[in-house]
Amino acid sequence: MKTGRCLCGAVRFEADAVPDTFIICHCEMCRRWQGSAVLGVVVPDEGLRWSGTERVAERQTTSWAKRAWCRDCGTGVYLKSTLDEGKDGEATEIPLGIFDDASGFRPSDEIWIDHKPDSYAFVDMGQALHTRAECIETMPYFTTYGSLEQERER
Amino acid sequence: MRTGQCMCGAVKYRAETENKVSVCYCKMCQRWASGVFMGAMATDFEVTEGEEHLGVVKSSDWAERGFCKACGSNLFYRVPGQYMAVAFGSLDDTTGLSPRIQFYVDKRPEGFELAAKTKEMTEAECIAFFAPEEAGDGGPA
Repeated sequence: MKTGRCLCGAVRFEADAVPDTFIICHCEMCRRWQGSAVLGVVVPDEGLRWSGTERVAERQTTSWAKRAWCRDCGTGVYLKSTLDEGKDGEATEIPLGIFDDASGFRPSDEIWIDHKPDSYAFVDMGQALHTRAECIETMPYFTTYGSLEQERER
Repeated sequence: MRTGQCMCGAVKYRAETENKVSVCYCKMCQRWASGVFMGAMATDFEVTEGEEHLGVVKSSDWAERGFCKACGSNLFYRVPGQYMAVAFGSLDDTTGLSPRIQFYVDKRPEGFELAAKTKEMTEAECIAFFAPEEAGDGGPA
């Protein structure tokens, strides 16, 4: 079992069956949300337990997903598809950094790679690179992706 | 002068930034910024829109972190009266910025690494340099 919490400790989780991989996303929304990119571990909801949820604020940020953060310290605590709600195999994407022990993970995919700023790059550790177009064509969740402007019109 | 905003656009700011991006892997930055905090050193920071949505949390004895209360976006790290770093990802235009220093390098999760070769400081070096009387898991951006 793995544990984690936000910066101030108000929001905490315990999770069973955590995979040893994470996804790196360079889309503009993730970049603005978490300061550089979102490094997310996709954890099955079965075996995932949150506490302090009264301190969690959620926002529907695209037509297919919502993001959540701690009201007190601003730590992003999860990103979750709203297309999957109530279905088997539902999962939650949890930022790598809020795990109490962030060791033992490796990157499986780096997505929206063509939207990454030129300023920096992550070393190749075997992650598969996907452009925005490739993500939209091959990953059903992304077929309704919107730009930042679309998000603000909501 | 650069401008920036949060993910939802509620908070907008402008600031003078250096081209230097500081990178920090201390556990507080890891938690707050999805594994690593990248900040562009900044002066003359001014919120131009949405001051009412700006949340500021005192995250250690010497530092504060600013975020948007409407979407949870990271906006800045600052040591009041000393220095500030705006979150790299919040800038509208990052042209010319590059990582120059990495703090708490020995705390970096092994699952990722920046390709850039920069100046590096370990946790012990950071504490000795920035806060010799202190111990703990905070660190400069």
